Amino acid sequence: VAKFGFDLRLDRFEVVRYEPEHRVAYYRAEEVPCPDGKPDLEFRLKASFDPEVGVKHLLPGGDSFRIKTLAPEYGTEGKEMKNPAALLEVRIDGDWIESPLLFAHQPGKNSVRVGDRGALVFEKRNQETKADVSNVTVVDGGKDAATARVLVNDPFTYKGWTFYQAECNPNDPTFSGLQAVRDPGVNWVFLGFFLICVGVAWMFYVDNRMKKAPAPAARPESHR
Amino acid sequence: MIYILAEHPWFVAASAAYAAALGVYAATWRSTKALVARLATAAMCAALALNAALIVGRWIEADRAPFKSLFESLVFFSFCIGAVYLVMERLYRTRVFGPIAALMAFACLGYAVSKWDAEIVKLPPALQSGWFVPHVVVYFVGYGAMAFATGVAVLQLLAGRYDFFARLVRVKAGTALSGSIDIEEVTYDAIKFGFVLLTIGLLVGSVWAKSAWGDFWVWDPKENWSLVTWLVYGAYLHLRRVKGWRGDRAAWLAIAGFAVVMFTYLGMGMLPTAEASAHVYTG
Repeated sequence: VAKFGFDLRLDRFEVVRYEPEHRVAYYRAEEVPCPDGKPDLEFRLKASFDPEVGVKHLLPGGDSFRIKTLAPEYGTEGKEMKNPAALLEVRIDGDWIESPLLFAHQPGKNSVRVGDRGALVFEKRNQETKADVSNVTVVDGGKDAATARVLVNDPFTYKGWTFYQAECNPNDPTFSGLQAVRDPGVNWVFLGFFLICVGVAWMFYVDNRMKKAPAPAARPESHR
Repeated sequence: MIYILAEHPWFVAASAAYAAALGVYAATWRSTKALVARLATAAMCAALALNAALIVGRWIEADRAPFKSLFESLVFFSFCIGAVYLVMERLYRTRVFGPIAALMAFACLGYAVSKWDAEIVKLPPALQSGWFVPHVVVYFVGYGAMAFATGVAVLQLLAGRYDFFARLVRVKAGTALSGSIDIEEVTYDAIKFGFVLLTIGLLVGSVWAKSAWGDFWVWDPKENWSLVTWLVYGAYLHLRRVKGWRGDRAAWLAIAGFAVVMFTYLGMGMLPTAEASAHVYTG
């Protein structure tokens, strides 16, 4: 087992969500195959819309909706308990229907049905991950030497070791799976890739042998 | 499907322009008038401009490159087919391949409508990279070249069987010029060009995988199938060069290569391993 020669401490794992915090989501009940053969109905997220008043959105199937009014801090409760509310206008089969006031934080009062199988839900955005971030600290020689944020597509390198965000549990800030790679020759590999690209283009467009292959009639022998 | 078209006039306009291009290009198979030929090219240019507008519009609306979902990629693919074709039309100075290219681009947009997503899905962490756009663009231009090569190979097979098509190739239909084109050479050229792009796309993807996950290759089904694609076209180039493959069997191999491309592009959802793939996005 290779030794790093230093320690890496996970300070906190966090999931960063896309802004804004709330959304209007369109769910649709779809048949999912069951092991026992009888298909099951499952609500699946089909579309997600940023809440913007007045913008008309087309839903799969031809219905549409727009937000008539939006109250980001509806109600009398304190700021910490803010309960955003939205009023939707939904067009089902050509008729505009006004929804009841939907409350993002009150399950059962946050959705309106669209047709037989669809539903619009005003809710907190709990999917649509923007980034999985591991906040880490390098402990080298007994003291904190560096801190970093490790993201997918943005690894962190320290003393020849590169750490990649590999595994995570969105609900557990104390856990993160990082992949550690020590790859001192990586630039030679990249150089090789580059040479392959240049070489392939070279053999077709610069080197005459592949530029225009002679017609078979002009060749004395096409099979050896 | 009609409701989508009713709500998206620009999409209808782009599709209609491809349909018009298809019609006028088909007319060049019959007519020798320069006006018809020019009209065909003009219709194709208009279709491409509208198609580009769809892509740019979506790019602005989504605030990211519109290559995330199948629908978005289909819109881009139809653009690539049209663009590659127009370059080839200038290069070989013939419009004989026009109807096939216009038909493919039109079919691609038509399929996009059936896969329409009203949503604009936000980019997951894996796709937030500078490699995203070059990787996709290089691949789709390469796919566009392979689609063109396949269209030419089909025409080659038809020309070998029906006099009508043989004559089209012989007289360089749709031009004032006469003089036969070496239709084999056109397929070969397009596949060479596509192969360079497939190579670059594969390696760019590999560099991206390395920078995102630490591995050059993660045995993702799409990766494996893009390697299969690369090997099939590699075999085509090799057999043509070393074994002197020409005629029908070379054309059939080119068509088989594109069938693998289409499976790599559209068929991943059928694989049992699709769930674990980084390349399969159902939204």
